[in-house]
Amino acid sequence: MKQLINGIWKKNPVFFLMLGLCPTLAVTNSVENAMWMAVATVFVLVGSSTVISAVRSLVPDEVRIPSFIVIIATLVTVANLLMKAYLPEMADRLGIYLMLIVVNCIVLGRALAFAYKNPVWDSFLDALGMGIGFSLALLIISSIREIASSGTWFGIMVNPLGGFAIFALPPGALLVMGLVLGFNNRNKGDA
Amino acid sequence: MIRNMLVLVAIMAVSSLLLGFSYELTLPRITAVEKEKFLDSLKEIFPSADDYSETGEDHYEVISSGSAIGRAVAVSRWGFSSEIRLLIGFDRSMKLKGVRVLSHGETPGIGSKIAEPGFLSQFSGSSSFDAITGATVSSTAVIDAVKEAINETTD
Repeated sequence: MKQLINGIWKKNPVFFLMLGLCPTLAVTNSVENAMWMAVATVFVLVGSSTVISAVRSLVPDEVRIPSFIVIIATLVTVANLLMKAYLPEMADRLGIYLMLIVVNCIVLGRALAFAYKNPVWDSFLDALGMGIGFSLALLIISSIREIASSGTWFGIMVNPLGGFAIFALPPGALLVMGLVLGFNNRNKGDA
Repeated sequence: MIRNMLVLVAIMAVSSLLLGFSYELTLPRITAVEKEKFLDSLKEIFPSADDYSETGEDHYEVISSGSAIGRAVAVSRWGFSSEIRLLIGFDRSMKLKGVRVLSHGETPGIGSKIAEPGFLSQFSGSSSFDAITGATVSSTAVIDAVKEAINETTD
């Protein structure tokens, strides 16, 4: 259980482990995009960690990285196909970033650091916690960016004083992420 | 060594099966979605269209209630920062009917204006086209592509 809770905040992959920053910047221009990206990522994360943990005794150390990458890439492709079939507009909007989940450091990172050396249930919980943490990070950043740039949250107008387009563009993403990171880490002293 | 190879082959085999299965499972829906999306783009140029048939590579015949009402051609051209895919429609007398941008990755707010009606509305009727101030490369790419398509149909 502790495994699950850790990934959500204390060891939040984006804010504290500093993993998966690229999709965090790329798809957080709107909450809806960010949430579907989170769903796809959690699917791949949980799926890959569980499978990798299940076969960890069969995979020799020397070929573990190519093996993991094949497993992860397969899961991402399946997620991509499912999204293209059932949520085509969202698949278009996420575009290449959906396929780039393959190289999301959180996925391979947890596979190598945890799933390969731990039992299936623990790996499942770890991946789920990391996934929820990633989703939380995406939710926070995308909320700030969407409310500031188009004044909406998930498409609902909540801030008529919005319109700061910079938050919808990459510089704004970096600014918001930097500020949130700084805010979260403010008590860390000079680590 | 052998063990390494066997493991890799086994993983590939299972993955291939899973991928093949997922592909087959989603293929009907994905082709239907693609067809629907393309028809929607055609409808922007030919509002009464309800079907189309492919008459050649990237060339289409637009159909409405069973009869052909025009032709359309899909072209790709490199713009400022991306490949721009255009749909160019001609009516039955081979006159330019309209242009729509199917996909592009031009600069948001600048080159992306090529997909806006303000720019695209000039492509029905007139024969001289204006570029977008501040987005020269993006807009001239579209204009050049349209001129090329016009020349191709009048040959």
